[in-house]
Amino acid sequence: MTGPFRFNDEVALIKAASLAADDLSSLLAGLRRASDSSIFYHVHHALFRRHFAASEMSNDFARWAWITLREEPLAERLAAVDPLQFRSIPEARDHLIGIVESYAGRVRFLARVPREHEFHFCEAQTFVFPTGHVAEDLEGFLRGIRGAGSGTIFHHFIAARHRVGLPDNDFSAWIEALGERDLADRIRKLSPFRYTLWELRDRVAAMIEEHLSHG
Amino acid sequence: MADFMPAGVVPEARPLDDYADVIGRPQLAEIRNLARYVEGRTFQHVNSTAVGGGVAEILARLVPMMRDLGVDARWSVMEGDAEFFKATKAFHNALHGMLVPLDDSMFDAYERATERNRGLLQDCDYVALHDPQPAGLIEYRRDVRSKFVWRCHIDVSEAEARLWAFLRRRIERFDASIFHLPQYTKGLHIPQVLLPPAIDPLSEKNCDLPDHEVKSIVASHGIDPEKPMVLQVSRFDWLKDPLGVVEAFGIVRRWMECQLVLAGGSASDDPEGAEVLAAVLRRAEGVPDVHILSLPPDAHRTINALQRAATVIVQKSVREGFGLVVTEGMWKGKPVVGGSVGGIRYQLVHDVTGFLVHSPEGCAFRVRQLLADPERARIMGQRAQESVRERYLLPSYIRNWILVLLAMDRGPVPVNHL
Repeated sequence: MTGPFRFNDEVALIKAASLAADDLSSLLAGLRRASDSSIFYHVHHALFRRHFAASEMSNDFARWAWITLREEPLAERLAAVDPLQFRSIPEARDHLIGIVESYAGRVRFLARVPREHEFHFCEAQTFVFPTGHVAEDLEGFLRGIRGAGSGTIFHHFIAARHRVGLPDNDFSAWIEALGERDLADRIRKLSPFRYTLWELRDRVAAMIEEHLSHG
Repeated sequence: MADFMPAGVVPEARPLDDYADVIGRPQLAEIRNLARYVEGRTFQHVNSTAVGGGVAEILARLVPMMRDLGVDARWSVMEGDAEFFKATKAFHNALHGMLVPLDDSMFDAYERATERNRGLLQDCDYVALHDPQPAGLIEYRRDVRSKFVWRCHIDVSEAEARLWAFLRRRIERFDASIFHLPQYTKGLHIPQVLLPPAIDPLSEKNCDLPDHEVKSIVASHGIDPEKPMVLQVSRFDWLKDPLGVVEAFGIVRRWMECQLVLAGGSASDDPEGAEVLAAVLRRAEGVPDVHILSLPPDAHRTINALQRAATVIVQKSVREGFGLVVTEGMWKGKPVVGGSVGGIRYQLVHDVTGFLVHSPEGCAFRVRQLLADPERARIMGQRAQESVRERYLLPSYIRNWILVLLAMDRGPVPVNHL
């Protein structure tokens, strides 16, 4: 027997981490010292912060390497980092360190930027709270998802992967427990690189709607 | 008159539900759900001016909306004499990194005004002191259970050393500090929250206006509504580089048929405004198609109309806290050419939501480029508007303030289940 699905919301307060980088070497040092919530902010949160500009880099490190350091080859490699491929934040951190380390070892000159162009590490203090929507079945789930905000989608679809374990998200895990494996799988395959949080919500709702109509 | 607002200030008590069409119902529900965790708490804001300037504008909305959410918010304004405001204006410039002579009499004036305003502090669960002017009041904190936060609205990254040491001794007695941007933080030993300011999309300054009203307001100031318009809105302040804007316009005007509108006023805590305005008038003498408007502090609808009528908006500041006027221009779907400083660098993604420039020549080049390519200007403006919708509107700002209160209660715990 599957329990009800309780919709949560997740919002973050952003704080300065008192850690800055002005070249590749201090970026590396920062990546090693920054808290997990800092890596989470600059990589996971960043993925959904600039959807108004498709041409933008998908994480903050890539953007800084591109626009400020002017190290385009490094920026390209950092931009290809998929935050959802990692089982944990330390794993994401190690991957980023590996990219920067290998690039820094190959460049002849480490450019430094002036103080006003430094990379400032930030961190997210996260607050999770119930939205009040509780679903007992797929119909109720559909009602809940239609009224969900971007924080709810981020919590259950993106951040959940670190809680539930790869490659899952809360929606698919619950729907699969209801016995709807195909539907759960189709939701798992939705790409956060293609859709904004709002579009992800609408896609999930449309899939459930279609599933129910073929009932 | 509402007793939770300064005398003479009318609260902009707009129900949160009015914002549904702008940000959507789910985001409104999020704010209401979150507000339940601070419902019934008392929260006092203190600043140094009731009218004029971005801080007063945002408090006039923030306080009533927090009350609408069940937080017992109130706003007090500290009183000061001419000597105090002269000192704090010098402090303001010195905190921005300008070379300003500071003498002991200024620090004395600051401390005297602080002492005179000690009775202003109320026993509240939370107290927010805005900018350096009231920061000294922390010395008169009575109840250790109250949480105090220092809200910094300016760029203090290159603050004059003696002044910053004077302020830092006071600021580190707060429970938390808030800065607009990470680059403005100062390595304080208290939490440094990052909270960019916001605009109210339903205010007179930002609400939709019918075309005929826009044209009529613009024409009433002697401006041709049909001619391409380059606009800078800001108080007359050296840090906004109005002379540089006139110079840039002179370059553009050689080859492009257009007009420049410099529209500004001065806040009650800014005695320098008249001097700057006079200098701008002198510089603009003989330059065709320049309109200089000195507007009263409540000319919000006029500013709205000017921004909507503009072809390109300029904000060529040489120092900037955040630059809400840039946010306003972006919200109106206009391409903005901004000085590559402070919050303007943070808001404008170069070549995506606007252009960042470093000189009058750079400003002229980008303005000319946008005037010559209306389609590019349109797309840039559209992206700018979406960027503001996601991040810089009043409801998000209120949500973030609630998070600040919760964070002060909970301490530095990375993940909090409420």
